[in-house]
Amino acid sequence: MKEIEPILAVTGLVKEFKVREHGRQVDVHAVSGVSFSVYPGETLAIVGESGCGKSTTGRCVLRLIEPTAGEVLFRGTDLLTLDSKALRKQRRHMQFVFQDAQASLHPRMTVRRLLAEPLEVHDVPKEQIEQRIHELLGLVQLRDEHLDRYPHEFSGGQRQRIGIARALAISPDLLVLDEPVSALDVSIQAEIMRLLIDLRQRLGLSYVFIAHDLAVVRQIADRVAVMYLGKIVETGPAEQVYNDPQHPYTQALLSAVPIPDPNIEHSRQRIVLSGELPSPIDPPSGCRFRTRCWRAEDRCADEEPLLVGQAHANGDGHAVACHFPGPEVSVELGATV
Amino acid sequence: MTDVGATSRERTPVLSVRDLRVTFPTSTGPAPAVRGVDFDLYSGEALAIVGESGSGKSVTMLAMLGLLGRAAVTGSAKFDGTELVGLDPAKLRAIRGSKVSMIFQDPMTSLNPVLTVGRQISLVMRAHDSKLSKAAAAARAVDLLEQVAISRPQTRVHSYPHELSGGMRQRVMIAMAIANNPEVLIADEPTTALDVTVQAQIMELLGKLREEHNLALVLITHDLGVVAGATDRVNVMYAGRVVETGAVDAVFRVPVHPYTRGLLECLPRLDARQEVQVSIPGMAATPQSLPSGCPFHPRCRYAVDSCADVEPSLEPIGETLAACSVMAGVAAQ
Amino acid sequence: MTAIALPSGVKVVRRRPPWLRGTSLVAVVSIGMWVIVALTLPLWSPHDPLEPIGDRLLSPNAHNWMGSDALGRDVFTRTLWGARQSLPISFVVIVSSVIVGTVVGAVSGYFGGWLDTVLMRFVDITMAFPPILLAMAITASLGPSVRNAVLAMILVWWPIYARLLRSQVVAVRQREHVESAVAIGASRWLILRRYVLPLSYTPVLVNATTDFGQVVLLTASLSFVGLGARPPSPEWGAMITEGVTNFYDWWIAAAPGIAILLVVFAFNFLGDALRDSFDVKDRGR
Repeated sequence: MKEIEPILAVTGLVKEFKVREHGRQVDVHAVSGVSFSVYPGETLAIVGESGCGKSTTGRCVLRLIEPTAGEVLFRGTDLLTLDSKALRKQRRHMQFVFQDAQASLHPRMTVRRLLAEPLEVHDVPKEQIEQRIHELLGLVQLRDEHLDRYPHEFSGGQRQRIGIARALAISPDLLVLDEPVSALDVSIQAEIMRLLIDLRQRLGLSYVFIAHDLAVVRQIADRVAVMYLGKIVETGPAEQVYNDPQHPYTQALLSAVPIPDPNIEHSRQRIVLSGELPSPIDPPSGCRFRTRCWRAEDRCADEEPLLVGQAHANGDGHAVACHFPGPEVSVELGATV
Repeated sequence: MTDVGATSRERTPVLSVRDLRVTFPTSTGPAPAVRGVDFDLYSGEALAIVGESGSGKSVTMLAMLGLLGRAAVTGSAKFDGTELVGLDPAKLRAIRGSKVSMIFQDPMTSLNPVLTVGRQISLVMRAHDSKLSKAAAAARAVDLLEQVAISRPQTRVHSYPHELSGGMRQRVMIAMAIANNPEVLIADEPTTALDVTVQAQIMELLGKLREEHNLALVLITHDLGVVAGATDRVNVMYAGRVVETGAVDAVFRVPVHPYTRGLLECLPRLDARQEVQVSIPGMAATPQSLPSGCPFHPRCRYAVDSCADVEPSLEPIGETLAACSVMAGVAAQ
Repeated sequence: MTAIALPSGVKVVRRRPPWLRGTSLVAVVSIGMWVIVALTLPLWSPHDPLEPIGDRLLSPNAHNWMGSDALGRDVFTRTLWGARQSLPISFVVIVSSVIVGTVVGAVSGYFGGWLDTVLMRFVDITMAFPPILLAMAITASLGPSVRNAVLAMILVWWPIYARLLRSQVVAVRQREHVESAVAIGASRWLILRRYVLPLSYTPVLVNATTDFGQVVLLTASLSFVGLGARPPSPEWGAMITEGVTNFYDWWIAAAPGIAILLVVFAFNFLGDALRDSFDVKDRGR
């Protein structure tokens, strides 16, 4: 049983966007009541496919987008109740790493200025800034000569390093990473993942790692939360979720990920989902996954399944939101040891 | 040339490429995107062409079909005995879309946004069969949508591309591609832009269609996982040439070329947590910056001095054909 | 460990920047000449623009390159002196409009809300009127003079820039580098200053350059109807008015007309070149 306090505790997070469809204003239910905790030094991965709300969740946690409702406790302080000045102060403890480093770095700022900016914003004395910049370069394995160059002069992998260095500048305790390696070539992905794992250990960071690539996530996650259409459907320790998934969507997701081994691929039995992803403007009643679920019954349309199993073990628990959870006996998921 | 893993040696290949070269004129001089590619494709088999950006994998097929305007294409690419390189454009058009079709990565940009999907499918059919009436084409379009597992095809046939999800759009593209019963289907990164569950659906569909129509499939991708599950043979390309080729089984089990090895090693695995993340150092060679000798040598951990002098050619090493002088030397012992 | 991004073998070709090539070069040179003329004219003016120097209504000749007008003044000299009216007027109008427009557009686009709504309604109302009519109305009500014409033109012109800048700001505000600045805790003013404005100003700059010529035209129009510079001032529009009364002595109106033409063209070409050069830079990554 963990007695430690979580560094981040999100409860009932909701985000609805208002859009215009056919002239009417409708609500897009991007995130509909998401709760999770992150413990110090731990990496929680939030996984899901397009439209599940994981990126929106990540941005809401740092208030880059204003949540519609909910509570985000960072070390006990509710971020959503802070005024802008206090919020800006809090930001030094939690930072964001973007998917597209090219888009997130000001094209007309040199690397030096990009790294100095967070320090200047938080009133770090000038003498210390220069030294800190060099420390940061060392952390992400860039060189001094890179300082006076502009983002567009670098490769994708290097830009991502710059983005990471910038996020680490003011020594945050928590990093929210939104698909940090998705835009990179496969051979570069591994480098950046290695860097992130290394930094995590060296600096004692906690990560919220948002991604759609389950194979990548496996390399870094301690705990995993699976999202579908704005809700968390399953969460638990990574090994458990990967080896013994309880929710049908998790099972389908894992079974869909290709494994680069022809023998395994040909002997696997795949769960191929039927149908299409419902629109977040009008999600299915009850369980949102029921329209594509092979276990669905009437109850699933009437009653929304709650995430159960979490209450009994702080964070070590494996929780599922399903009326009929359990291993899929007829399918071998190819998750070998 | 030694056949490795060809499913039937007696049959003639439906597609036969020899020494295909594609060069682009650029402001800094000619850029050789493809530098001598050979392969054979037999009907009913699936060949994967694997590589990262800049390897020339897409350019090879695009050039073969005459879809690259300004490039200089030399060499030979025979489809059912007909030479495609340098073929009269009208005759090439007759083959494209009917006997040999292609689907692309991003269906949103490949589909015409102002036409309904039904009309687009009909157009493909009527372009190759002037005797086909509008009504007959429309009916067959509904049929095709059903074949690609789109629900309620009679209504869907009147939808516009932007009304459909990414997965559905890709299915429409596949419907257009099989409308004229092709012998060869080329799929250029068909699922890269799609979610993994949708990818599974599309790959399953492609597999089913292959079986039903005895299609030969060329799958161009950078995703080795997809290759492992869906193809029979694989060509690994780097810097415009095939550096390793062989049966999928063999290439994955005992990769010979250092680049292939590197690619396989740096892949994160779903089924295991790796202790150490391995990667390939340096940056991919591009047509405008080709290293001398073997283009992979600056990034290769096995490279010796002679690697910078001569570019190795494909030879049988182990169970595959690979272009690496160091590995060839090791095998000879 | 990782290599530098520029691949070997790519030559960086040094060429003159786009705004110094072709028609743009001609434009820059001619604008330069006009500016020099306007600044230095008192030192070398062929004649006095206000004093009659000879016979009236002489057609162009060796002595009077563009003839003389109804009061016997040298038309060529007066045309040159006209630059000393039009160029500074345009400059003041453009710069002031840009400043006012930028402030309004930035505040409106960045902070949004009711402020945005109110300000943009002002913009809409102003832009609902044809610019010339509105400028005329304002000048007439304030009393015809150069100063009032300038004021009127500023009032008419700033909404254009406000709207232009606002739409840029709204677009830039969404970009991820702005999000990145928010994430590190930068204050809204810093973001506005360092991120939003520098990435939004290019369309305004391009438009302002082309508009220079338009303001010259507008000034001339106002003077033409008697609501700007009054005789005996050698302002081009006023000169054209005089030329109308002596229609068959074509040179009196032609000279200032040609001057206006040249100046407007020059600024148009310059504006085009600026726009092309910004396009390339933004695309050229």
